[in-house]
Amino acid sequence: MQSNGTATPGATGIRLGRRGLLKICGGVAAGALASPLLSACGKSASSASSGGGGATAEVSIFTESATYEGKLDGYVGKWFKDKVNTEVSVVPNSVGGTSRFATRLSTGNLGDLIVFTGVDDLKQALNANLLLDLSTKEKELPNLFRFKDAIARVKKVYDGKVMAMPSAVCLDSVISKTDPVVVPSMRYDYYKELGSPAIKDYWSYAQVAEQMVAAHPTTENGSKFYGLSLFSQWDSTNATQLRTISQSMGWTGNDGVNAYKFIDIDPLGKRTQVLIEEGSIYLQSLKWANGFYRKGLLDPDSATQTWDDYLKKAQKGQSALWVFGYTGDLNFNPANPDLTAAGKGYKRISNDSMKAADPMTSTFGSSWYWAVTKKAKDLDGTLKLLNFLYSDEGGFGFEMGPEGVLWKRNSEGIPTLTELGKQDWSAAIPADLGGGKKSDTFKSRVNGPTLDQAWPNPTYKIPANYQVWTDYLTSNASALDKQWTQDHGGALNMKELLVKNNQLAAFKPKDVPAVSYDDQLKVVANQVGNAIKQYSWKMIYASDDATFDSLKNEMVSKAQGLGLDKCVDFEKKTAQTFFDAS
Amino acid sequence: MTIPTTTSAVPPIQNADKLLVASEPAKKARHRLRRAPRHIAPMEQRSTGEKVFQVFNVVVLVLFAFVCLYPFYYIFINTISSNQLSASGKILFWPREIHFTNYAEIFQIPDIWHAFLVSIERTVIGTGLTVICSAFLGFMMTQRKMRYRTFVYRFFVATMYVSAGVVPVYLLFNYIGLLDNFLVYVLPGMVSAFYIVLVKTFIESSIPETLQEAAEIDGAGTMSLFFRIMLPLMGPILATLAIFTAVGQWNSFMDTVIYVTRSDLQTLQYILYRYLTQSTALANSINAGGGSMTEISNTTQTAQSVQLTVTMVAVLPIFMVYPFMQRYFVKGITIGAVKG
Amino acid sequence: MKKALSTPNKLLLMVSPFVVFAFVFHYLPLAGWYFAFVDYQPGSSPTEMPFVGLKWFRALISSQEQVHTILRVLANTLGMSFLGIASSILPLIFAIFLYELRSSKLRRFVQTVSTAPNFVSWVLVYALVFAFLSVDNGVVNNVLTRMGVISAPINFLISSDHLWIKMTLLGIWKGLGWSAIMYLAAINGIDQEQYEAAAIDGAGRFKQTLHVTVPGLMPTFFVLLLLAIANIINTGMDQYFVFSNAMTADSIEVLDLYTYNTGIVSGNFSFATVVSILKTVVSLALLFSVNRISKSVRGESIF
Repeated sequence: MQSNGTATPGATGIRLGRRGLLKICGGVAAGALASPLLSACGKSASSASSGGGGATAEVSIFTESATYEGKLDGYVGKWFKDKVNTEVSVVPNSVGGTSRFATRLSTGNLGDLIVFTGVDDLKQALNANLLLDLSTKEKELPNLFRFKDAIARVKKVYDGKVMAMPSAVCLDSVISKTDPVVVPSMRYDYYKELGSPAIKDYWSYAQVAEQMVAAHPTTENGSKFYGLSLFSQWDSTNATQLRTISQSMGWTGNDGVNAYKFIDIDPLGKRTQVLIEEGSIYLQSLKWANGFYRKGLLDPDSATQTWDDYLKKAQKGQSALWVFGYTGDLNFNPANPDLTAAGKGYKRISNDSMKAADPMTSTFGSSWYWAVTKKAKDLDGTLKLLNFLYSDEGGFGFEMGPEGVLWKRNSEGIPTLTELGKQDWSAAIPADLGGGKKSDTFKSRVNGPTLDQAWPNPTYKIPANYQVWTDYLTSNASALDKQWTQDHGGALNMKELLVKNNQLAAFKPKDVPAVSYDDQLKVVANQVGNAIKQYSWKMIYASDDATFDSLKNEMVSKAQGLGLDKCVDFEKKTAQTFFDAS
Repeated sequence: MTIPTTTSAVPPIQNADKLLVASEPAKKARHRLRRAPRHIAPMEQRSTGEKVFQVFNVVVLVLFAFVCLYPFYYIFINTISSNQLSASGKILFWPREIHFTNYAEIFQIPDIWHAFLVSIERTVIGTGLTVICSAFLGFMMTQRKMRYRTFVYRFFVATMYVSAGVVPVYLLFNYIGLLDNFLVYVLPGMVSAFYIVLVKTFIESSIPETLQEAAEIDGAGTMSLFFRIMLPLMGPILATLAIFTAVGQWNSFMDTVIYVTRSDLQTLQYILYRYLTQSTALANSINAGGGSMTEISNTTQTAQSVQLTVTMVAVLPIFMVYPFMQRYFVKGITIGAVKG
Repeated sequence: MKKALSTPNKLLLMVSPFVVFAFVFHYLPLAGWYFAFVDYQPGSSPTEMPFVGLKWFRALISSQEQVHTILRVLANTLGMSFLGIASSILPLIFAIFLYELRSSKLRRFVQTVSTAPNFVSWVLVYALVFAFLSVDNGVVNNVLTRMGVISAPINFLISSDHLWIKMTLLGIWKGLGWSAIMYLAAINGIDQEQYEAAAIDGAGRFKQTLHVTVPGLMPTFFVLLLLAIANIINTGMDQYFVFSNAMTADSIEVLDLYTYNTGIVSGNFSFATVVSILKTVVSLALLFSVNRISKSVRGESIF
């Protein structure tokens, strides 16, 4: 607590921030699927009606998933003012990585609404008797109570009470249209130069990457071109990027409610696999990356570069393959419009064995929650705001805001981007629309999705996530995108292709309780995870098979010595509950 | 969770100083010291060895100064060069495509000027309180006649090493009304064991005891002994305390993070720090989620350019005030001039 | 009444408000050490938290592997602390060198500039170091390969060779100028007459330094040394966190970083409290034993 003597801002903070972020990103990445927000009540009337007369309500939101602090102003602020006559202020839990939840909770000072990113803190708030039972306010919250599955889920856990409302809810499970992170992106023009070779399985990307590097040792701007570039900054209990590879084979580390540190689960085949068991996909992934290293194809900075450094490489296009697919098509391509106009750049490239694990939208909601505190100063205003957020209209505006600013409905009533909507996120919004910058969204400032963003909103017929709007995909397509579409039978994005080719292992999230390690096991899990993470990277950088194997053996015996089995048992039990649930 | 802040060999500095604005006795003391010429060695005594040493010394120190200065120069040229070039690591020696949008952006943050005032207030008040308390207690700890002096001194010194964790302190501050209170910035650091130790050591090694005895014989009370005799002689150590405390106060943001919710109590560092982590956070979550912020154009903020600019904005005021305080401890200098 | 107070009591009375103050701000919160013996639940009253005895203390050493880890972590902590303490003479030397500079302009300039690194956060230090040392286009590798010193670029950051020394050097770079301020102040406190007397005795510049300046700085040096020794297990973690990666972790993980990685990162207050307690106990024990040693060796105790 002592103020930090000589540090400049930035010191501790960022670092922790990254960890926190990681979680957020993980959430977002793993789950383009679980994404929240749009939606619907049959009666959009409930949402559209304005707050009417009376004084403007002031409501504060304590959020665990964003870092903005202050009033919600700009065009989004105007939206809430117009719709529910409310001024919203935001208090982030984490400032530079220091969580304020525990200290604030010790005096109950947590604002009117809370966005929880997990059950741990939610449980603590319940223990402290801070939360309001929403079932007593059913009349004021019709937009929440229309999500029967989600309500039933919390009632089951809290003895018929609704102590919190799951985030990212929807009314039916559908396959999202977002590209899975795990389908890698590669230089598409180089791929075509090679004659668009068939790729047997994930491991075969290595040969293609090798050939690409042989043909193009440097990038257009003269930087070195590697076969594979990785980064380690977001790792917590394993080499995160390599761990996600199993998702391309139908396995996942996240069932939509619970995340697994030490096992992968196969939601459809109801199997589990310990990350470091003999022959596991994770071990194969390490071996695969090690193969790049031994051929001199791995970016040597992989273990040491930060996410910032990694992004710089992405924008320069320094890797033939990006494990997180979006790193290529969504980072390099927009930064190099001249190349994409010439048909050059990164596109997602699937393989013959691809079976991408992909959670469908969840009627039970995600593992994030909204809750109302008993200390809410203006309870009516608070409930009115929450109800609006869960309306079709409120949910749809999570990222895109109110109708008429970034989007409008076309003649068929389908949302399309306005000119403003097509601009860069730093674009200014005219004062008569509310002002501020385009990026001042509810998503960036509060990040508490109410409706699932991937779920087609009943009122607007399409998902809130503009990146899957047909209008966006077609009007925004570069020569490169058009070429890819032409080569792939008219598919607009990879997801469409995967569905068509039956390469998607879409699974329904289920109504399982959120579990967490108890405090003591958590300490053990962190230690085991640290060991696995460190050995994984050493294995990636191993100089020969013998070293690789002996490191692997050391990793296994060390992890077991620290208590891996206890953690695995715990996670397998969680997985079994998931498999058994209907 | 907070990381336990720990003291390293370099002191955790907290607060002190309007003494610098100099009370009369302090001024007199300074004059006295200035009048006393430092080692004026006759010219002819300078040996070859000393000349060689001078050359060596200049070379070493200039090299070290360069090593210390370059990173700042690097940061500066990267804040005013095209963010795109900066992001791709191309700005190493000269700025290119100069622009000031990074700075403009930071000065447009709402309430930043108010926060600037709060920072100045806490720095001035906090530094004043800490310096005067530390000076007084350091002096008192040299008073051998005090009952239980050793115990009291150890009682203070041990505070440097005991830590209770953030929650108990938060509860305490809640109980005594320090949450959301300006005093939370200046009170907790007021009695600083480290500074007490420094002051005590300085007095014992630099101020002759005979001076005190003489004053006592003249019938001076403890308070007048402190204010009239001792304080004016403590210039260098007070300046050191003041600079340490002031810089600590200026740079501090953790206390705002934990103990303050009121927006009118936010400090400059807090806002810069939050702004900095927020934009990284946003960039990261959006990138991971699918990419809107990735359309980074020439002057769009990239995380690193924000980090660098924030560092410059946070540190520049220190370097503008620093030379004024520096006179108090790099002062002996005039003598060097005489000598050389 | 007034008369009744003797000088010793009067002096004690004068500092007593500050003693109370220090007690409230530093010792009162120690009641929170109770959290080490329960499963901490924020928001509940302490009486409602389940009492678990020494569970969290045992959590530190519950398996063979864990004991190994702790030993390795302690070795790193002590090793780097020791190097730090060994280099704590440098600010003193730097201050003397600075003082001996003849040009006062240069003296001010060097003094100002040398404090600059103190203001760069470790996160940015890493960003700078990476910009210079990275394999891909790092300046150092570029220059070395161009000059033919090395044939292929080296990933300096991944190597754990001499890691403690590298970390110590960085620490010196960052803190040298700043720590020297205390010695500059002490030099200024040295009575001028001593120099004059030495000069009259025929002492040259070098001898003046050796016989006047150095002894004048010793009290400050010894006090700081003692404080640093008591702080030997409190290294902080910022620096080690940013430079830690899979290859270096084994040699860089210090106690503070370890605590962060295992307990704090998951918000485990009870575990964090256990570490606070242990650290406090070790520091105080060190402080008072070093003080005792100083008393028997140098004949004067510092505290």
